[in-house]
Amino acid sequence: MSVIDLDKPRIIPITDRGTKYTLTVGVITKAQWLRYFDGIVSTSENQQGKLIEVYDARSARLELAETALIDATGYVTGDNASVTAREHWQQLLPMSHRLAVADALVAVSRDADTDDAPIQLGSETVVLRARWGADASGAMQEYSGLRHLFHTPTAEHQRRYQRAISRSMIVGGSRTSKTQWLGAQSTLIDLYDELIESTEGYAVGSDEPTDRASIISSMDSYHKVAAAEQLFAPALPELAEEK
Amino acid sequence: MSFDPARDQDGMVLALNEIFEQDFARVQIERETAGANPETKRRLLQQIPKRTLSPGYYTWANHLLWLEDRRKAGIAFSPAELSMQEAAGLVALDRARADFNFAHPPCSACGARQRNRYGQECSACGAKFRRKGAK
Repeated sequence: MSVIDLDKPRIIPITDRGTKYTLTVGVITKAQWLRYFDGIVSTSENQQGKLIEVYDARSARLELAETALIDATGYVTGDNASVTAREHWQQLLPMSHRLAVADALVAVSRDADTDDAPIQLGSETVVLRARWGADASGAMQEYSGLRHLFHTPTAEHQRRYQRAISRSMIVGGSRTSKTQWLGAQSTLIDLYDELIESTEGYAVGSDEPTDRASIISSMDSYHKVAAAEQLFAPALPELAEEK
Repeated sequence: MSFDPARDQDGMVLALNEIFEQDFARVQIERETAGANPETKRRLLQQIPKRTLSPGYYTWANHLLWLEDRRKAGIAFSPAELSMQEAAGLVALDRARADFNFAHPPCSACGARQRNRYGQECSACGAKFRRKGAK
């Protein structure tokens, strides 16, 4: 089974009008991810009794991609110099290519848990699937069965999560102005670090991280958020089909 | 200019009052339209007073109600674990609940809350109310 190598740059191949381009993204730090989460615009407003909601993560995602890109090949430069020799070269790449990179960085979702073993009391497993980068053949890979085994959260952990998802700022001078939601990602990263016990499907170097310290230091923050969030989401009930 | 709604205690009392009043109106309509046609019920539900504050107030207010539910169930959060805004919010919740209880006293016979404190009989079970001091 192939695993996500957390400490290697990811290669994102793009084919555009018959030409293949290769974009390389460096390891994204926690600070970069936090800046991305802070850049997400999520607002709600009551207008004559109607709730108007605005959500825009695209601009922040694009900025993240631009700061995370460390190399690009396949593009032609006027003076035959390498792409990265140009100042602010990331912003010179086609918007559609930068967006494709940006989308790949956040392509993480909940995966079905196919493990039939009964749940171990005091532990909870979250399984994710994610696009990460190209494999040796150059094809973009989607990884499934990325397991995160957590210690069961306490009521206090749940309270911290509830508090984080309830936080907001009112933008403007009055009580009726727009609400800007602050997001719970930073809290989810903290909760992940406190509760994680082990993972499967990830590697640091060529080895699976076996101790908590190496998981905490090397796990991608976006995967931390996606996994920790599932701890507080309701389990999917298995419904019988209606006859 | 921006501010944290969790720090606006008077605003939080207002938000909680609106939540209580909306819930109360919804319960009244459900009771009064049992068996009525769905269109009548839909029309009455549309008459429930709209929320007047920014949505962030109600989300924090719901967090306070969530905390209160756990407190009532015996799950104790130590003061060290509660944030300053949560502690102040729980005080605001007590104030809002006292205001609501005063405005809508329960029937002593069936417990149903009344539209106001001046009714002659219970709107749910019909029990007659006797004013204090009345013979």
